[in-house]
Amino acid sequence: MKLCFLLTFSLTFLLSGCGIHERIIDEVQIIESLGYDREEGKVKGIAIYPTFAEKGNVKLKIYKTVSDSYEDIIPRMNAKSAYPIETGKLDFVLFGKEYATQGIEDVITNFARNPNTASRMQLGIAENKAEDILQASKHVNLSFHLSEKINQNIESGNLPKMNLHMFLNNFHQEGRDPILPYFILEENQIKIDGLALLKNDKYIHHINLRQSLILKTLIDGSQNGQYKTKITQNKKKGFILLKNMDAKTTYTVEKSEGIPSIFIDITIHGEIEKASSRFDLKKDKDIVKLERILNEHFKEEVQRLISLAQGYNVDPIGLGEKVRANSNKWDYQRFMDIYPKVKTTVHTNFQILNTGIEE
Amino acid sequence: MKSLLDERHLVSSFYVFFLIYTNIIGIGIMSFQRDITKDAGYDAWISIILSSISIHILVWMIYRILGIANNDIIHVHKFCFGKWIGALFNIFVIFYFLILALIVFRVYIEVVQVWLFPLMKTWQISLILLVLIYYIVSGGFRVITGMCFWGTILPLIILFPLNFFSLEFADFHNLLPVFNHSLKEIVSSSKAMLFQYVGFETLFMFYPFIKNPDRSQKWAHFGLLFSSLLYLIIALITFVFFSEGQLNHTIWPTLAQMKIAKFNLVERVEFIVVSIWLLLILPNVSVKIWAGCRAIKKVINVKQRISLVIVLVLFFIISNVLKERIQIERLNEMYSNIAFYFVYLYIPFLFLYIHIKHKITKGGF
Repeated sequence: MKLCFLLTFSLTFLLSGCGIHERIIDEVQIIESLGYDREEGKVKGIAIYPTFAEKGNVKLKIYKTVSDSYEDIIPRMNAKSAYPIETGKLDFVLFGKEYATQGIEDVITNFARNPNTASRMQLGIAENKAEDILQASKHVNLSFHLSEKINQNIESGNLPKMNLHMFLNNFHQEGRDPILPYFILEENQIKIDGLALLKNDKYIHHINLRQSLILKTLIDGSQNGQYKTKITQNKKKGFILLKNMDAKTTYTVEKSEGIPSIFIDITIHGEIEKASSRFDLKKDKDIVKLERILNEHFKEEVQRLISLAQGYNVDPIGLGEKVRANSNKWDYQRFMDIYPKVKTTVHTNFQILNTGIEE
Repeated sequence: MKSLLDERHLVSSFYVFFLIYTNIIGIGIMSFQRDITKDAGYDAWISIILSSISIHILVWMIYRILGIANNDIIHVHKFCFGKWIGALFNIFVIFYFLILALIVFRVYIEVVQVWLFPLMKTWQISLILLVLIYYIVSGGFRVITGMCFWGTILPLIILFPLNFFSLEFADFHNLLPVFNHSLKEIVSSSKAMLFQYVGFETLFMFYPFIKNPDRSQKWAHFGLLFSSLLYLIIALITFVFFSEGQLNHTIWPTLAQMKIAKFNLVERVEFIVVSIWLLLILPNVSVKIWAGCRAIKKVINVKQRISLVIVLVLFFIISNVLKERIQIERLNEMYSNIAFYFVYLYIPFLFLYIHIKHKITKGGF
């Protein structure tokens, strides 16, 4: 028994040395963001990696490489790096619009195949070239700020829940099309300017941040987010900014043999953050009036968003999913054919919780 | 009923709970969702319940069979079919347990290679694990039972809660519509689920090692109930976390859904998951190897320690020969077919046969 114990003991220690591919943090090159662009028929890859010159001081640097297909982008970068490139900490992948219109399935499913890939990795689509965005992000000198930008906007802004897992879920699911954050450059600063709508894995169209909030209420019901709109109250035109929009959405699918019709009931509780001083917010009567105006407004906006999606034949809301959950016979192909004709009836119930601490 | 063995070899009936649990929960818990949804889709949770009920009935039958014999299956076979044909059945039982252990062992190595150490060779992992298994099994049945106890408690505390992190991204619409699949589809999914319960038959071998075996039956049923509840909860979490299309692309859904958990210090929990999971695999494999070696001893009278070494060497060789995933899957498939007939046909048959034989010989045993 003693011999056996010794043998076990020594073997575990001796064998643990061999075969295990050690990856010490100082001796690997972690990349934190990756971009793909299409350039003259070739694929251009851009990776951002942090360097730690002194303590607490991060400097972001860039690898760029061009290849005729996406597969060997990372190996090509590896040939430029002093340390082996590790994708374990990679948490943001950005696609240029041109790349995304041709489909991003291969890149993403191959990332998903790799056990090192984080499920919470964020993806995005750049308005122009991914390179421009990543180049601009280099100057920020803050690690992971691109994915944090998305996470922050999911938590407290207008973006619905998103990450690699959600993308793959929607991508493989029958009855829901994926969405991705849409990046633009504004004054040479990176801005999330709404959402890109995708059909399967191809970029189709994008919507702005206000519409994103509406999409967010339709998908998972928002709890926050800000929304500015122009309204007319008592014949006075002005802007109003709503905050902390707490929304709940319920769907009822009318079963019918032909084309299904969906009843959407949205309840939104909001606060007024800022309003044009021309508006009357003092009397209850005025508040009720304002609620009625906003109700009409949201109803219209939701309808507009749905018909926009139907016009492009994409289903970011997951109407197909709602129909599937309510029907015994589900035929995705058939649903795709009738999707642009699916009828929706929207009912909104907007309530203003308060107008702040001063009138 | 008095036991045949010396008191110091026995474990109290309470431990049957842990023995049954660790024998059932092994390799399947990481990947069963995909197998059962192949036919029944997201109605497969029904088949988890159905197959659990059927296994409860079989456990009851096993207790009746062994209660009559008050001994293990080797003895039952000799009594029922005589010395020679009985021996033939016993050899089948030996292979039945050992191949099952081999499958669990080899699949775990594969998981380690895919998830943790892609460059580590099979022989390195298997050598370390086999020495460890030798150490456990040679300690005797009580040591194995102790491993079962910790193999139940620790993973349950550490791994099980990790599943709930995925509820952040849950979509409960995935479960709808309910009862959308035909009875035939549910049944064939239950058949796939059955293989996840395989392992409880080691009860056939360790029955004589239980103190007050007739009182242990309720613990066996508890252990079974607990494992099926675990399967059910994990399956439901998987169903709301993955869309059906996505689940079809996921090889190890349970691992993948734990992967979403993220802590400040531990970026990737799957490293911890796979490591702690070993605590479940070790007793699972050990009990089966022990059962096999015990059967060898009773059939051809070879000392358990010698047969154990031979078995482990064979394990080492075979697990290195099985290189590709396809080979492992083929073995798995073949085995699950055999297990299906063994469990659903042979156990009821033996149950009837021994009752008739018992009546004819007027309780002669």
